[in-house]
Amino acid sequence: MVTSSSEFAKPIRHTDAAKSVNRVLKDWYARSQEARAKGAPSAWVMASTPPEILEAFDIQAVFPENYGAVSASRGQAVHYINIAESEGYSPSICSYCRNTLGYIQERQQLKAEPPDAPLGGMGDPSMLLSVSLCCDIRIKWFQTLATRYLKVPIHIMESLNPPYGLDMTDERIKKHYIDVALAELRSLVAFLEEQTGRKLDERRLKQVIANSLVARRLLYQTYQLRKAVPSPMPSEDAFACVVPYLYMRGTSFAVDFYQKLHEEVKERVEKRIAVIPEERYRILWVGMPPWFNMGIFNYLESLGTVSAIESQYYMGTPIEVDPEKGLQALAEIAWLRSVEQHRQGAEIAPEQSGPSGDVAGLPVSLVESFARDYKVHGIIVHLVQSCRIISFGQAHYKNVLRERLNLPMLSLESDMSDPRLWNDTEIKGHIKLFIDVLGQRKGTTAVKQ
Amino acid sequence: MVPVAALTGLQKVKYIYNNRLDRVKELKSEGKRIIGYLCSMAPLEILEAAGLVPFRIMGSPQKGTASADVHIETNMCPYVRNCFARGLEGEFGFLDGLLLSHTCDSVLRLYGLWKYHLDAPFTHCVNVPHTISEPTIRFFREEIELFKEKVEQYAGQEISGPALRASIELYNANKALVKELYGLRKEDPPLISGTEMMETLVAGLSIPAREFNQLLREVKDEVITRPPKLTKKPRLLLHGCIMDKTGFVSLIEKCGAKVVMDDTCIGTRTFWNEVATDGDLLDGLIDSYFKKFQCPRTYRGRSLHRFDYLRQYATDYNAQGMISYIMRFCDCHSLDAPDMRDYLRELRLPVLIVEDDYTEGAVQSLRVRIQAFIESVTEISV
Ligand code: SF4
Ligand code: SF4
Ligand code: SF4
Repeated sequence: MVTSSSEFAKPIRHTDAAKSVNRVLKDWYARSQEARAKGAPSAWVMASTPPEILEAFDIQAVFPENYGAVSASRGQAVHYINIAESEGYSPSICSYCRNTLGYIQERQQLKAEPPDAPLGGMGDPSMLLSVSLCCDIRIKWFQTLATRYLKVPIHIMESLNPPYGLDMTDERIKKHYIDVALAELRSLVAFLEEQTGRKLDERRLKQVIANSLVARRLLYQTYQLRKAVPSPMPSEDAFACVVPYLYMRGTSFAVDFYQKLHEEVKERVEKRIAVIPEERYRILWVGMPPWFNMGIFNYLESLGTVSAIESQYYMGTPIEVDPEKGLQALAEIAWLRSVEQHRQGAEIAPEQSGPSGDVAGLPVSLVESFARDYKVHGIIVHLVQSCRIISFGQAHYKNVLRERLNLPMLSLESDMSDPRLWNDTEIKGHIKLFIDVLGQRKGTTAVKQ
Repeated sequence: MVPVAALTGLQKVKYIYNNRLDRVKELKSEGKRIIGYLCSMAPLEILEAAGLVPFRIMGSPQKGTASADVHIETNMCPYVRNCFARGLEGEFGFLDGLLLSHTCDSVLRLYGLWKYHLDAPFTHCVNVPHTISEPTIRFFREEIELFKEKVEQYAGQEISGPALRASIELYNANKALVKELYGLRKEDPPLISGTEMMETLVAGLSIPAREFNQLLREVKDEVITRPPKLTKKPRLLLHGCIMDKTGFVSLIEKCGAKVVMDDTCIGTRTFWNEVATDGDLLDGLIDSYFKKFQCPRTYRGRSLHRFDYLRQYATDYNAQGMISYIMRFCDCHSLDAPDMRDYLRELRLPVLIVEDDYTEGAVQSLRVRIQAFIESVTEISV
């Protein structure tokens, strides 16, 4: 096991938009610290809680999952993870979660923001907002925070998705899921009204939903442009550029951001500005990235290989819903997203959609179409040990894609935020061998006919 | 060999425990339809009322998970992987269907893969919210109704009110009899050991509810009439994830303690909540399978008081300590562990938390820690 940090490299990003994301993060954390200092409502929020609603209420939100990635990329995660483990939290628990628990534990001991806290820390929230989508961890994590550390009001939003095999054309099923989704949105709104002392501004919500739909569409269109050969925008850039989408997609800032990103990528395609001048191979990256070592993508590039597309943080195809419907629009977005995911085979994507349409887990047919459409020569599957949920399905992908595509696949194992699980020599050795295999098959992209 | 029909009480329990597929296979050959389930937050009463036979799927720790590892990542629950391996290897080939509920991440994900690879005429997943509120209760009600209709369709018969009531009463009798047996564990020494109790419950989940009632009566008659054990031993509460073999309980008891009460899946979690029959039957089912179903997968507030029931168990059964068995990768239990530990510490109830991976070897490697724990409990009690 490797513990030295010398082998961890920060990424060199390619697009201006991706390069600007560090600044976006800094400003965001600074803004929320400022707001908190003024006593404005602030929250620690689980991702997939509809950012549209947070925006409509003007809640300053920070996201502990994001802080897990931030801490890992700034070399601070191991410190926090160790603290959490010495408190009795099993190393098998999500490393984002262990990161937060260690961070808050240290902060409470110091009675101040830890001096090394990345981006100045998450600060004291006036409320906790979680959502049951995706994994059991998300509920238990916030329950733990509220029990042990943060004596502020907590709200847990239920997010329910139709299990695999249900008849998604059945109107009764549709009503069943939309009803509960709407009720849960309303109960989140009621909670926020109580916490902020303000009524939901419906007009603002509609505007925010409209922004969010535009931001999604622009991001989707950008992903379409990424199909170009040579690749104009690699995975390390995409992993940065999803930040506004995941956490602030209802803002006009997000719309501007994606407008610029789209223009930039379009121009790169037109002018054939490539990620690497001599693009020899393209790969599809399945799974979360190792946030502590995003330089691994540049390592691939040094071997003539670009990660052209990734399975994680996909925004889904644009959805036509009337923003004027307000909360109902969000519930419909979530439903339509589920319908789409079921169409593509939901056997390994049981939690298809968050309360405002975040995609959690991709159906195998979608991953297959990525491999084809992005003209990849191989697939790298990154199993992150401590997130069972995102890792789940990778074995199935491999089994099914082996049958449907004629592509080499490489499996790597480490973690998204626990660098102790990264074995640099081994991983790089595997990558080199894999690229040799790609070399032997030169010229073969996807695809069994 | 004595034919099983000639056995009674604990001998019969042991036989069924060791041959748990026999009875359902026999029923199958008689034309009954058998529906497999895992930890159920879906009412089995509905299957029974339609003339179907519920059968609890279990794993085999000595057999490993190789066949499932091809399909499920090894960082998912080892229990779920083990059960799936048995399914893929054809051990449950007699099943006509599968009923899972959205209990935890691993089981929900198992559902998709099971249906994909081993689809059967009746395959259904009851979706269960993680929080309890008006909308989620409404949602769960509709889930039960959808489930009931699907069962009716499959069974080709409507489930009438009286049939459902009769089935609920049958299952309630199971629960009441199990509670009576548990009551005998309040004696010191307890009249039935933790190992015997577990064997009885596992056996009971392998046969129809009606036969289980009979078996429970026999076991009760036997344990109250046999000569009582004289040596008192430290009394422990057992907490944790799914245990469907006696290995762990019997290790604790061989190490010199008695398991007198539990908060485990094949234990109080399954048998503690009788369904009320004095009002709307569906309300009764919702109470018992959702609102009151005790498992950390459901959010029950942000205070340590969510563990109050453990104090109650310890008091009622006079337990001097608790051993908690956590399945590796079971997030609900892992994340609760430090809160639970602190809660029990405040009560001055000693606790040992162990993590296991559902293999036989792992259980044995825990011996030393368990012995040391039992000794420490004994000292405190003296
Ligand atoms: S989905 Fe994975 S990374 Fe996100 S909270 Fe759950 S376990 Fe952690
Ligand atoms: S831990 Fe809970 S959900 Fe899991 S098997 Fe036990 S009772 Fe069921
Ligand atoms: S042990 Fe935990 S993860 Fe495994 S089936 Fe039970 S609740 Fe789920």
